[in-house]
Amino acid sequence: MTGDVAAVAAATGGCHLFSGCGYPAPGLQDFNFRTLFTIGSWNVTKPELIAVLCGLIVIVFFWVAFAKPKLIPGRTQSLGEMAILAVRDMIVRPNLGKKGDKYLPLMSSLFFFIVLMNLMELIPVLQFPAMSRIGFVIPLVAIIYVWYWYLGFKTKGFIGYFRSWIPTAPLFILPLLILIEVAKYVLIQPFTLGIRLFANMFAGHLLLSVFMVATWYLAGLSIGLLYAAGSLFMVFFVFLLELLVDLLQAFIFATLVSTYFADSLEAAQH
Amino acid sequence: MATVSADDTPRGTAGAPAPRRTVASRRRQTFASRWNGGKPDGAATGPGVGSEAFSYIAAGLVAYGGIGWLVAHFTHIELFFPIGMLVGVAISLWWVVYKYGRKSD
Repeated sequence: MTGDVAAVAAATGGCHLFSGCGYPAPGLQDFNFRTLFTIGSWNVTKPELIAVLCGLIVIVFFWVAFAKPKLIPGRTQSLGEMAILAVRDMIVRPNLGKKGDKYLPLMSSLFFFIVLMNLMELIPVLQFPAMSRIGFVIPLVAIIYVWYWYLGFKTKGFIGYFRSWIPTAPLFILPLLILIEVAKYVLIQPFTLGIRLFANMFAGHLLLSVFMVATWYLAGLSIGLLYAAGSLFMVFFVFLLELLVDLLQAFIFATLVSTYFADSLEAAQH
Repeated sequence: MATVSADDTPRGTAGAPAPRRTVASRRRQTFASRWNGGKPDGAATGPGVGSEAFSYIAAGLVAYGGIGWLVAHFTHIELFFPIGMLVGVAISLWWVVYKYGRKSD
């Protein structure tokens, strides 16, 4: 058995405190899912289904909101406008200025897709943040990475883009800094962009699972009931914490992408 | 009676000489442009600056740690690997302080 179900089922299936079995600690096995159904040679799992669902929700919502925009907006259009304006004023404009408005559709869809993917860990039944599987994060980072390199080449030219990496620093240290700049652009930026999102979602889901399973495991007609209450409190606490982390991580991802875009789009200085 | 300093003179007042820029205002401007990395509007500021500073430190660690590892691999002197990492972090820290941290008040 895989997924969260494994540990919870172990606890509910008679594995409680003083019943002779140990605490069924959640671990890496909770991030592997069995195939739900097959389409041709594609084995569809729960995280994939969640990713498709989140993509569809974002597409359908914005399509419904803006397919036929009205001067006096309806409820869906108002909500859509609020969402778009929030992304524009908090993420795009502070980093890219007004010239960044043409990237608003990208940033909005990116932000809301990641928010939804993250929030899925708090939705009953689904209960899994798809971004805690690095396979979903890497393609997202790869798309952004290729995109901002392309923008850099387009704005500054092929040689000009690489030349713009040379920092304005005193000559005695310049040769040493060039290597650091290269490492920053080529390795560190894409790595930190992806790992930050993945690690936060992975750790958050694991933390939530630990306390959920502990609540089940400790519940019983013994002193364990007291500990179970404490663990249940932690479930609510971590739930609220994760709500914050889910929104924050999407915000940070989109903000970093817009700063990378700004870096690529700024006028060549050399 | 309140006194008006040169810095409080409104700009563009007809007939009045242009306000003198004080040392403090020049320092503030220097800091502002340095905070921006000497970049025009749209460059990394705010939350992007912290991330960029971290990126520099990690990049120094990786770049010079990598060189140190290569040297250690060929010379069989393992000490070069930690030395490389330390040198990388030192250069990165110096650069971060030089680029973002020279705040004057």
